[in-house]
Amino acid sequence: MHKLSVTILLACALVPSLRAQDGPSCPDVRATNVAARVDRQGSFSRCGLGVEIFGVPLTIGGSKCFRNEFVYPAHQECQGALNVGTACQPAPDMAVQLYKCECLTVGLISTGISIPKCNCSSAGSAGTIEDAQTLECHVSP
Amino acid sequence: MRWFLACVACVIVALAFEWWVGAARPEPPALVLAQDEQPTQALSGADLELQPAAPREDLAPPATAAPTAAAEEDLVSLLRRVALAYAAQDSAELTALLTGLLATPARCEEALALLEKGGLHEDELACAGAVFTLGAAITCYGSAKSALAVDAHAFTVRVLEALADVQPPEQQDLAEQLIQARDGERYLLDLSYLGKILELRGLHPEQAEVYSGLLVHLSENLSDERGLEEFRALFLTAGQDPTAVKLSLSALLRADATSWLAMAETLFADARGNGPLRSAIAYAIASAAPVELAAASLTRLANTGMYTEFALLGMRAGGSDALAAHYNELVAAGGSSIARKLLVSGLRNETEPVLVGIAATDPDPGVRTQALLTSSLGRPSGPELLDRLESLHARRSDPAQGIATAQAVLVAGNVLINSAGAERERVKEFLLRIAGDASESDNDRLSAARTLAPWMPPGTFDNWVIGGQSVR
Repeated sequence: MHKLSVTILLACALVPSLRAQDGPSCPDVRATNVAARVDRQGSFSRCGLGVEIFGVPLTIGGSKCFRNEFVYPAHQECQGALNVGTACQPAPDMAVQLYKCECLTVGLISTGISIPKCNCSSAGSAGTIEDAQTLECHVSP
Repeated sequence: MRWFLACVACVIVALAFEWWVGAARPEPPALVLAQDEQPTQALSGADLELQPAAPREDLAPPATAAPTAAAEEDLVSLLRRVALAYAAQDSAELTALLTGLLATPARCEEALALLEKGGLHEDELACAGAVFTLGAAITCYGSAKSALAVDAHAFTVRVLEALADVQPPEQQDLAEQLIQARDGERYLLDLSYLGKILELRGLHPEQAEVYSGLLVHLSENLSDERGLEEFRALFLTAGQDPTAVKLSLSALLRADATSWLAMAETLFADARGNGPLRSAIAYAIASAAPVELAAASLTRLANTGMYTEFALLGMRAGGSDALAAHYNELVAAGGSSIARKLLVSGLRNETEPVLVGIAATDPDPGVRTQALLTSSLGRPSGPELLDRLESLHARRSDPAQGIATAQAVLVAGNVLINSAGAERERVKEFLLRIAGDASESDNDRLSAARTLAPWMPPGTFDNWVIGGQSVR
């Protein structure tokens, strides 16, 4: 008897979701993953070592150092990707961070050596991007 | 006579002893290397491919050497010493080594051949040294100040040709050396190389992205019709190569924005779902089209995640005014809130009262938040901004009037980073109130506490648990 009631309850629970897949109001789409990205803005300097060879000043080595770096987080977007029985819905916004970078001379511990390095620090949130999520469709019985 | 014979015997014994001791004495490190390894100059291309990279533990200790001595030393060893001198930030040693290497262009060619055949791929030091040396050679040979009689154009073409066969990551490093080589303000990779780069890009389609990247400064300094024609052809054929599209489109927009802007917008629309290509097109418009046209175009294309392009346009001369004009037009017409938000994100040159005014009047909460974020980004905020932040947050239950707590926390985070004194203390109290307010959602409370935690004395949030999660 106990098993029968559990089976009936489970069957009842499944009915709405089965209906949802065929329901006319379900858009049958899902959210699409968008990878995180870093956009480096404008020109850059190179944090290298300055030398002069045959009278020509040169910068040797060193990493590229852009003044501004925008960091976009990995998120999801509603791009219309098909997926039966689900909908793509907005999710809370996510922050886009701005980092400001400059060449600094950094000492290496216990070596007496100082090397130029691109040092970036957060300037804060430049804005927000919309996030999205995939939700199962639910049609009220 | 006996005395004389004894002296001769002593001299013979002494000479024999000196000869024996001299034979037993080890050679200096450089000579040992020269004996153990075949001179790389004598190897053919095939031999270079097969030559195993020397293990790093074989490194001889760096020593100062005169250029003449350096010229006789094994090339791989010299290249490692270049990298070591750079790592030790020893400009004198680096200058001496590079002077010696650059004085003999054949040695630079040899370094290029080693790099091209992958002969240095496993030897990080020698590889870095080769890239440094070639970068210095391109700049030095191409400089008007240089007294060296080297055909700089031919040498650079040789490096361009070799680039396709250099393995990553040194391939990208070498490409960067080419891109950055300058004689004063003039980039050495000028329009005279355009044909060659496009030819190599066509010959090595698998390396198209690397060769496209070399066009960056060429597209900025386009002046002749032939170069423009080359970029036109590149734009029309580059298709899915974002770097080529960005650079060729930039060149075309600089030359004739009215003709190319419509095509750029069509291409942007067609690239739905292709983020990198869309970014490339928007970046070209923001950086190259006249500011008025660029602002109008970006307003039409405005899409979530275009902060970089709007910021770039806002930094150009007249860009901020153009963005502000389009914002005013849009807000008066009740136009797209996403476009308004991005236009406001580019107004970083505007004063705090202007941005706080937008936060007070714009009908959309996202734009109101953006105005406060733009104003508080990378610069200190004043009491006027904090007053507006608190009043908008107080009306958070009405989206037509206020801003949500999550957005208010972001603005407060900017003030914490960029302001000091009374403003920072005030915003700390604001965040602490949110963190302790049970009427706020757990997510917002956690976010406020975690934003605040680095700015508070250690241990402040040790026992805080919000929604089952520790603040730490």
